[in-house]
Amino acid sequence: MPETRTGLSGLSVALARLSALLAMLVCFFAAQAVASTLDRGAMEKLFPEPFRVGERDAALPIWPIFRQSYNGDVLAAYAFESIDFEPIPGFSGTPLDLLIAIKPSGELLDVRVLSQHEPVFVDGLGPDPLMNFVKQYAGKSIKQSIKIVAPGTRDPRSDSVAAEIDGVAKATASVRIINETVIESALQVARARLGFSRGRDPNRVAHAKEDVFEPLTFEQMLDRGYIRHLRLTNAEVEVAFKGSDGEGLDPQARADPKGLFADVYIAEVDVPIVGRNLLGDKNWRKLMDQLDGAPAMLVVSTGRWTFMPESFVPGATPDFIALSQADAPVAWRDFVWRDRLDLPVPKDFDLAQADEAIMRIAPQAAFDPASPSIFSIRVLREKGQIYPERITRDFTLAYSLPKNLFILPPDDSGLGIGSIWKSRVRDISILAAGLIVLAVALARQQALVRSPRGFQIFRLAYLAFTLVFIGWIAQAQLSIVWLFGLIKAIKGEGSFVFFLWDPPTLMVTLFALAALFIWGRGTFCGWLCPFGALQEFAGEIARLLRLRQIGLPQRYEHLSRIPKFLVLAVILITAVFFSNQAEKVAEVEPFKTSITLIFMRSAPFVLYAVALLIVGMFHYKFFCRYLCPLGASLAALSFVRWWKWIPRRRECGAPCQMCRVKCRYGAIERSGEIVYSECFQCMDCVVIHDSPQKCVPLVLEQKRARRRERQKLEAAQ
Amino acid sequence: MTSNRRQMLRLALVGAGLGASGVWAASQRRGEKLFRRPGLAFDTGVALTVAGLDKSEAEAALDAGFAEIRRLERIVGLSTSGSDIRRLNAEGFLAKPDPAMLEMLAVAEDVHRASGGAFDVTVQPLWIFYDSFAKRGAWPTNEEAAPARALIGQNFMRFDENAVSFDQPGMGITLNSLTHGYAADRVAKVLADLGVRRAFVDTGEMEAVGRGPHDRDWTAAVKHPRQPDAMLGTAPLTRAMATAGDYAYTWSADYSRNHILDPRTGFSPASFATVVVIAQRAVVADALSTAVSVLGPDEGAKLLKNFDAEAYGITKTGNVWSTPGFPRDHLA
Repeated sequence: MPETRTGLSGLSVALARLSALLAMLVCFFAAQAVASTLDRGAMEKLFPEPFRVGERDAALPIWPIFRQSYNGDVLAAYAFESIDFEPIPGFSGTPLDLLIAIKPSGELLDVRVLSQHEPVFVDGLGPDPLMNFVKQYAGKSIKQSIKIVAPGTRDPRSDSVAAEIDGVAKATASVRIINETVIESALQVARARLGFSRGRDPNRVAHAKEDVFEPLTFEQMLDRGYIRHLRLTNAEVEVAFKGSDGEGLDPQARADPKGLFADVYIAEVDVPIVGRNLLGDKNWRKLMDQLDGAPAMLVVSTGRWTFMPESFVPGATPDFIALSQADAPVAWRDFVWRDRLDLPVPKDFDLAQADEAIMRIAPQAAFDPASPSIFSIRVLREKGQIYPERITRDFTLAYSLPKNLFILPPDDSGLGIGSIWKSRVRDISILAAGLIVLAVALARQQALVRSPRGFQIFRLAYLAFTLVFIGWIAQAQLSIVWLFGLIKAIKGEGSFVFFLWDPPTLMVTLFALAALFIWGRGTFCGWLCPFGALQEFAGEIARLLRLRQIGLPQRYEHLSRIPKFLVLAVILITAVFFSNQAEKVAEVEPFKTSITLIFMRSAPFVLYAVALLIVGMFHYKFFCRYLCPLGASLAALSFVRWWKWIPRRRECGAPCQMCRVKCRYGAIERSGEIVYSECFQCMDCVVIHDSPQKCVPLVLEQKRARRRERQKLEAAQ
Repeated sequence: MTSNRRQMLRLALVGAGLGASGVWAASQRRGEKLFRRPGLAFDTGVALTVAGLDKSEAEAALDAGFAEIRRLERIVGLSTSGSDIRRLNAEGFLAKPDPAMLEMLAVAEDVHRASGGAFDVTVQPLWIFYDSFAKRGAWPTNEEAAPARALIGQNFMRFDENAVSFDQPGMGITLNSLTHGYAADRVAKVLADLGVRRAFVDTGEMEAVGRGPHDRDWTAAVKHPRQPDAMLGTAPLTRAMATAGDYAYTWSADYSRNHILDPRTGFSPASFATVVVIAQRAVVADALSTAVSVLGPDEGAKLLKNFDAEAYGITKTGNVWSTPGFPRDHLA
């Protein structure tokens, strides 16, 4: 290591080592298994009369909850703790625990927060917005796709397929984690206990193989189940209505029980082997072009029954046919295909009289063509004249295509992370561009500092980007709390998955870690830390105001490097022995106040953050240099840096002290050596080094050169 | 295999055990507190009710009762993964069967003999065969079902304390027509052994321990076979009571294809919609309710006499039928 080991900097190195050791201990103690916490007594408090808490499930940590009724107990819901099913770590690295109660129908009865350590809800916004957020789940069904939208942008129309709930501003990632926790754990319980089949996730549906084709006749396709047939006689329909008010309402059925009531064929025509054989190549290709990748079902029917009554509006969703999959309805619409379909139907099927429709299945319905689905037709009978009673009966037809017609999706645990990256694509691309600019600029530092004024403008502009975009907009301020999660994940006890929930933070982290190996901690602390940028601007204002700086006496320079390690040690010790207090101690960081919440927080926190900024105006970057535990942890890790990227001269330190005096971070030793673990990569010394006007050895060299020139001239005269 | 069945049953009303709500309200009012704990077991709703105890005694008794239920699930639960009966059906052989299974098989043997083969626990392969068709919205022809039917026959099964085994590969048993009743007997015994003097056990079939609060008989509700959540009336419960109904699990909307199968023909019997049997032991009542459903009223009555049991039934055509000794005061 290049650092000069005076007694005190040796001490700070030792402290850094101690911090690393403590971090290991944190991992060890944090490895305690997470498990459910509620016993019968606690459940009875959560579900008081008229509920009755049933005996816990034999195989799974689920409590059946009954509702007392006049002649027994009716199963009202299954209650469970999310931590037993889907322990997704939040931003503190600790999974949150929700109490979820799901009705046998798949509707959520109640969702409550049992414990949570999300930094933004622990203090920041406080727990109330979270409590209000989870209240929105009551009444939503896991058969719907539950989406979080920005507050106030909720579509008031809700339907059976999709539901929207309001998110929480400034806690976008946290509420997404909560949403995923609710849905995934409820689905697991529903699959285990409500007979739900494997969920329909848009990322997991199969796609038809383009090249599977052989010519088949209509009968062959029927045999293989590519086409399914439902034929009902009057008598069969009458039987279904038997015993109901609809019984005997159809005189035609009584007169001709054997007569045809409905004759229906269905086929999924977007699958090549089905569609091409049914529609012919040309028609099929035309249809495929217009379907735009969506699956589609062909429905044709004759007989007395029709799914296209006179009241049917072309392009609408018909009332008398339906498709469902995994116990949930599939959204589809009439595709208004008006080309005559010349179908090779059997001779006894009167195509001229038939109703035909191509039903386009909405892509967001996540219909999986490789999984079985149920097609149903609805028969309606009306009793009475003015306000007739409507009695309906459904007749179903199972539809299932063989798996070998499809490219099946990979069998993963399927967290909906892809959607997060998609939804933040704007932030991700801007940030990526910003990080590339920084990487290129720093890699070409000589060119960067060629014009000191140009460099100054670049630096301030970049810091403005860091503060406004990285900090306030993309919310990618790294924090010591986040580091806990990282350590846990590395230890294998947490999961790296939670990092994927917050793409910008992940990008900054990876960039900072990579830069740690090249340039040291300075890249993050000096360029990418939004609070650091804020302090730098405070410092710039102080400079414009010509505020007098209060310096530390020389002899305390080394000593002053130590407090931040002590702060880090206190935080790590707290995390080990009083883990529930860790988030509170981590409040020594003003990041949440100033960056995450943009100062919209209770007075003590705001005062603290502002006080730090004011102190920073009189003593440059006071917090960063003396208190920041995240900076301390990066400093402790900075021995991995392999490039001494700051150019030095023989004269540096002996005799020249120019850079040392100019360094605002006290990161240059009297000997001229750079203390990289304290360096914020502000480049001041690089600018000086390359400047013929500022670098004393260069200035002297020029003077000498001029003198020699003069002497030469004098000699020549 | 039975997940659909489980789902369907669990949605159903949980054992309409206490019958008229008056009993409950009255006893709560007068201070003889009832402690009731419902639960889900054996693919149905169950509930244990105890009286005459303080809260901690009651909770301990209920814990013990449910522990016994869970133990039995691990032995004869067809939907409990890794249960003894599932191993037996998978491997065709089970060494050292639990005494509980042997006791049930002994009752099965008695009722099988006495009913002339109308009761048979080896119908399981046919049940699975039918269910697999029904799930696809189809139904097999007689010829298609013949191989599964050929696997039925309790005389192809051997059992003693060393092993249970089948003579033909592919055979399997269901004890679902005995399990609920057997569990009621066992739980009643566990509670009585703990000193509980008043309890109402509903494990899908019902059994009384002592009398109800204030020394009145417990009342059991009799479910309506065609109207979910409705009841036909009540009957005093002094011993054990079991019900078989075509509505509990059906493959066709008109209940003509349902979970009760005549092992001799392979079809669901046509006579009864529901049969309620009262006997000394719930396990016997349970088996008899199924056997009488298959045999119909006349032969059923003869069988009941053999076992000193009484029964009440509603035929599919809606006629009420009962043996002379059945307490019908609060029933149609």
